Amino acid sequence: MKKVIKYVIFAALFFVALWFSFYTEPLSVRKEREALKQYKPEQLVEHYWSSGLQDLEANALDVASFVNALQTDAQTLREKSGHILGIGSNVCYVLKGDAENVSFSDNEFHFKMNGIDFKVPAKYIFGNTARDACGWFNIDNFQNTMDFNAVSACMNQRIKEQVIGDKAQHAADYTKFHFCGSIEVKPDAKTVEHLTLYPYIFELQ
Amino acid sequence: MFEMSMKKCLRQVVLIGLLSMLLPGFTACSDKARNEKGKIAVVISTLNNPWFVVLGESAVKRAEELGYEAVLFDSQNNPSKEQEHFDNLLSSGYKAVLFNPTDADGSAVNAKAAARAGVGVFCMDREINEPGACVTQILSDNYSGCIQLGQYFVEVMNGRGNYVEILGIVGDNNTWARSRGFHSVVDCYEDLHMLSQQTADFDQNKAMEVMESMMQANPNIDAVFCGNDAMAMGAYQAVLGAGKENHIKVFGFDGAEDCVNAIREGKVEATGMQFPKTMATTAAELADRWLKGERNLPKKLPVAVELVNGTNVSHYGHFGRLD
Amino acid sequence: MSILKQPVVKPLIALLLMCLAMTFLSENFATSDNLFNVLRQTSVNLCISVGMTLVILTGGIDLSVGSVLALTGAIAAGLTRDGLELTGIDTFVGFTFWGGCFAALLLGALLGGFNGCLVTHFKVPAFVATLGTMTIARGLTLLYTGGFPITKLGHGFEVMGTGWFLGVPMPVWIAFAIILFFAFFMAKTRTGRYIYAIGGNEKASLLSGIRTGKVILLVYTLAGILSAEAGLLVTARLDSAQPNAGTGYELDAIAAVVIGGASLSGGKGSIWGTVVGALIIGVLNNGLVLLNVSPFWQQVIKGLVILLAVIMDRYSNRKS
Repeated sequence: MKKVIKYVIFAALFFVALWFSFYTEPLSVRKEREALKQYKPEQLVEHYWSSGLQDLEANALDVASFVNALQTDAQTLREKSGHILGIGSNVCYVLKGDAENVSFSDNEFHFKMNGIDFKVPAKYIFGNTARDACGWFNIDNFQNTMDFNAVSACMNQRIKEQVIGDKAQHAADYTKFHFCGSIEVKPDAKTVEHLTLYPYIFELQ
Repeated sequence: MFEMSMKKCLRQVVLIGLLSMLLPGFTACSDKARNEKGKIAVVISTLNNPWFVVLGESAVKRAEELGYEAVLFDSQNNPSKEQEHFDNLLSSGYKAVLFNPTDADGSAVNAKAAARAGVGVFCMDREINEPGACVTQILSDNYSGCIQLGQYFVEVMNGRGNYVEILGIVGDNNTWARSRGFHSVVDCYEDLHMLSQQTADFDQNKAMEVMESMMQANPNIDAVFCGNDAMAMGAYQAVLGAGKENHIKVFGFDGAEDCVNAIREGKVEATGMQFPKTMATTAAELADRWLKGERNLPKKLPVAVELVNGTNVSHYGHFGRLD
Repeated sequence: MSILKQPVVKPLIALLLMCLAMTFLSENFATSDNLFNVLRQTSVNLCISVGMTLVILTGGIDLSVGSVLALTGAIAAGLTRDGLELTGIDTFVGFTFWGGCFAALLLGALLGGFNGCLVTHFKVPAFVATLGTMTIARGLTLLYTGGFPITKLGHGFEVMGTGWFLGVPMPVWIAFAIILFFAFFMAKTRTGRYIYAIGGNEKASLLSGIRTGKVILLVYTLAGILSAEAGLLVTARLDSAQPNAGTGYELDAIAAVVIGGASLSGGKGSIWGTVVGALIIGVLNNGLVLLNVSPFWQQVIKGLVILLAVIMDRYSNRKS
């Protein structure tokens, strides 16, 4: 009799423990809820891009004044218009202008302006230049650097698909275009000969 | 008879006691001079890798130059050991910690405990996913560094070929920053195929074994990208052992001395120079400023990484730039 | 005189002398912060060592404690954080913190029972049986975690690992409760006496009517449950379940039991002796770090202390 009571008590305790141990809910409901909590860099990029593009263009440097300022007073230029990610990083600027005599080869648009050879990649777009030059994103506001780098990936994707889009296919039509885009120069550079431009705006004239 | 056993008992007890006192006393350090400015702890994830030794020792040196008493702790890649170090330093009156965490999530509890106790935490090289707990995190911009590496990789491979990837510790954000930076470039090229991706925990021996297995499974490997230089050296040993050193190209990341020398000798193709001395001295200096009362320090401070390859290797060495 | 003859006295005096020495050698040792650190850090070893004491008293040994610790910690963390997804029936089973703990303790009991079964039913020597379980459990841990640590575990684990109650850290309370319970169990219950008897002479106990098989099975199961509890403590303290947690913990546990005066052939030893043994190791670890001794020297010293304790013990036994 004593043994039976002991077993009954144990079983009761066991089931009480089980009761407090877990709960169930439909999997689909949970998945939906979790999806809402996910980090979505695309939304962040979309928000800034749609609202900030006009100001970006208004404040951008035209190529001639950029070249001039770089030679005469690089320090002021850096402080006023440049963006530096961290110690030893390159300086990013936003330039605008109207390109002429544009050629297309090797998946890139090429043109010359103020003594600089520009190239605009149409297929291989990577790096943090676009993200850092616009000044919309501050690394301190991101929980970790992977989230911050995901923004770069999103912006590069957007440039490739929406800004450049299928213009590479009709490259022949693009001998002249208006651009506003990001570039990167070494911190101690006084002159530049080659620049890669990652455009925010890229329009036929 | 009672007296005999009592005497014996006491004798043995005193013997054990004396010996247990002498052993630690024998190996104890001499008294450090009492320091007015205070103590700074430098907690490094592992001292098994010379890159981290340079990081730790540079931090200690700079902190001592600034007038603090600095002590180096080795977490042996073990979050439990790291927690013991934090327990000890929090109860021993350290004012700031220059911290190289073992795990981006697992080390957060230690940083939080330090922050609660009013001790400033300055992360070096690796970040933790709890930015509120640290004053500043000084990190290598691994993502950009691997973008440069990836671009050079594409150049060396002429945009085509088969490669394998050896990852570092999966719990470390640096591992993924490097991998993603690399892939953001290389994945754009359809003729470059990744045959396999494994982890070797940033360890040279493990990387050698992993590379040997990968070469067995995939006889047509043209290149290998390793998440750090220790693994690149291990992979190179495996490639050498298989007699394929003239065919398989090895890429690393870190800027470790032996790898830079290997690049000089043409054995390894390229690496990314991280600047451990810069990170360590910056951390020590920021800690000094914080302890003096400055409060608006940046939360994250990336340090740029520079590509080191056959053409510019003469400018690099000793975990930094030679000029 | 009878108090002095108790086996726990010798290690206890050694412990007190060590603490005295540390107090003089380092100004930071005798602070309440540091002493609580020592207790908190030793709490994990205390849980495992109590279980190990029971096993060693029966003349066996349990090498799987470290791996069981890791596996149960990982299961508790994984179930609490992620739950179970049953896609076939579109159900999500979420586990509460208590559920995760319960699952871990249950798993510990199962693994301990598995050990006990191997030893009693299949007559596998304890060393080999638990060595096998150790390897299997470690493999399962790596499989379950995929090599990644499981982090961000929530409030329950945070309180268990870093919480304080009445001025004493939670892990210390837990270890204390376990010690009291098992000290009572060994001294005052029939099963406790049976364990000593089996260790002294297994055949004789069997012949005098003790169900040795059942008792040994119970002992290994209890060791498994205590390893699971230790696993929960480690996971709670770190707020993450590490795939290689617990590596080498079995050696610290065996050391604590041996320094505490137990004999590896069984029948001799006590819970309180083990407690003192674990504290000696804890104070040694803590003291050496406070004195800035290199971690490599720490290993050497720890080994020497263990050998010293055993040699002293043998010496005194032989003489008397």
